Amino acid sequence: MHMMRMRHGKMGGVTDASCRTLFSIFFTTCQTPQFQAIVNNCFSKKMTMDAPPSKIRKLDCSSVTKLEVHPILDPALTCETIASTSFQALNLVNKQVIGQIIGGLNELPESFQHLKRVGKDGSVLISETEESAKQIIIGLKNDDVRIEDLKTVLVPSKKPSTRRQFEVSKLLWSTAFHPNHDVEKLLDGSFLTDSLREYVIRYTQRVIEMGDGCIAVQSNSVLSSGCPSTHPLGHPVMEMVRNLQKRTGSDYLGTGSDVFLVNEPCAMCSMALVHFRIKRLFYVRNSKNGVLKDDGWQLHLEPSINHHYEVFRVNIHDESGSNLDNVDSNSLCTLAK
Amino acid sequence: MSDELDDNDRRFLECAFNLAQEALDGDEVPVGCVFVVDGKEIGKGRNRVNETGDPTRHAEMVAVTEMWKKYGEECKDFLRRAVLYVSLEPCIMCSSAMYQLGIRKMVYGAENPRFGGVRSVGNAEKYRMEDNIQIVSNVWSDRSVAMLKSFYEKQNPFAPPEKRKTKKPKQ
Repeated sequence: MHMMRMRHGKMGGVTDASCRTLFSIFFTTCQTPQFQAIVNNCFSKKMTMDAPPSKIRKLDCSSVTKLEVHPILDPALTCETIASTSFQALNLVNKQVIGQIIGGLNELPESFQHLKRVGKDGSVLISETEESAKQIIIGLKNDDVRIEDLKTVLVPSKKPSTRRQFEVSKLLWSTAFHPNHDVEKLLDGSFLTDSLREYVIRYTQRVIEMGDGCIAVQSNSVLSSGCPSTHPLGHPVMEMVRNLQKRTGSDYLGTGSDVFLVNEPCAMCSMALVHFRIKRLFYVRNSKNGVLKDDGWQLHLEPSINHHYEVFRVNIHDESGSNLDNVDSNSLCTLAK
Repeated sequence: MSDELDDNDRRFLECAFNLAQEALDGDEVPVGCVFVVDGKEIGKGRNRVNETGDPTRHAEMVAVTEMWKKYGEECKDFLRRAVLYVSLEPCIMCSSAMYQLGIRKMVYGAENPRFGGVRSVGNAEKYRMEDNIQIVSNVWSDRSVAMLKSFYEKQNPFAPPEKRKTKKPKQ
């Protein structure tokens, strides 16, 4: 899959704290013996780590388990509102002169190129300010066009980045839109195909079995893995990279690999994954020193960095709804104690 | 900035820049560094990414691993008292590492607008760390940049042969 840049610039004035994406796939573990084995194994290993035993007991055959794969996207993409600004439009009584009028107008300024010239009601965008709009109308010297027919309309101030934003934009004014199909799949949850779901479960299970581990997967096989060491910087990612055999030829580093982690990586480890050129990161628990979750910096969205990877948080819930892998608020990306 | 430097600083910077030149001669990104405690060198390193095929083998990481092998657990205490001299602003990975190791002071060459992790792109606040390392930045920047330029010229196979020659760093 082509590497996707998730940050498309900040949307000015857009604030929608509730804009989140969360996709859940529900499983009854009894339904597929294979999956049941995976999940049971996964949780029995968890017991040796930090989850309270009472929660482990609930995970018998009758438990309904929920797997969530939560893409951590640019707020500019998850946002469901759109910033607007006012513009001067001309009401035309005689619709037949629309073509003629547009022919006499300059193109819209660069920052308004996303707007269609003619609105749904047949009015025509003239200019941003009332003063310049009047000048333009006078300059047209057309009997069908009167200054009194100028009106103020609200238009979307940016080109919509997602279909949802496009739907909202259209209510204000006709707008151009070029959907990014990969982004749409991340937003509507359809990225999580059956094969991806199996893949995520398989390696998430493996990485939890390792304890505080890290696994890199390339072309469906394990490229390298690592656990914290006592090296002063022996974090899971650094150990995984260190354990990689020296590579030669066309296989450059970890290009295009997927990385699975128990704990959200710190800045050092997140940047090491940039140097490693990974495609996707899946992690289970938020960390106190993590820099990818949506309440902080979000290194994977930083525009000045020249390589970007997709980030997903993977959760497995039991029937009580408590999040077994996400309960530890003291999680830290760190070395072995 | 260079006015703040004393003779010791210049000596260790010279050493870091020589290591950067050694990296350049070995077709690596020209970055070198020295860790110093109480006026004594305790570790040094230079970029070894191509040699090892490990993209994290930046000068600072190479030096920390060398100190770890040499001093074991004790190196963690040394590092908390250390001054890092490095020929280029450390990248985000290495800067975050320095904040986590809790070193005392950092003296570095040119700023790195693409990857720089001290002031340029990343910083302690973004790492959820305390901004408690004393920083002396932009030291001998011209020399630092000249080395980087000659690295990128050398790497370009379409560059005319006379341009591919390693430039003498400015003094």
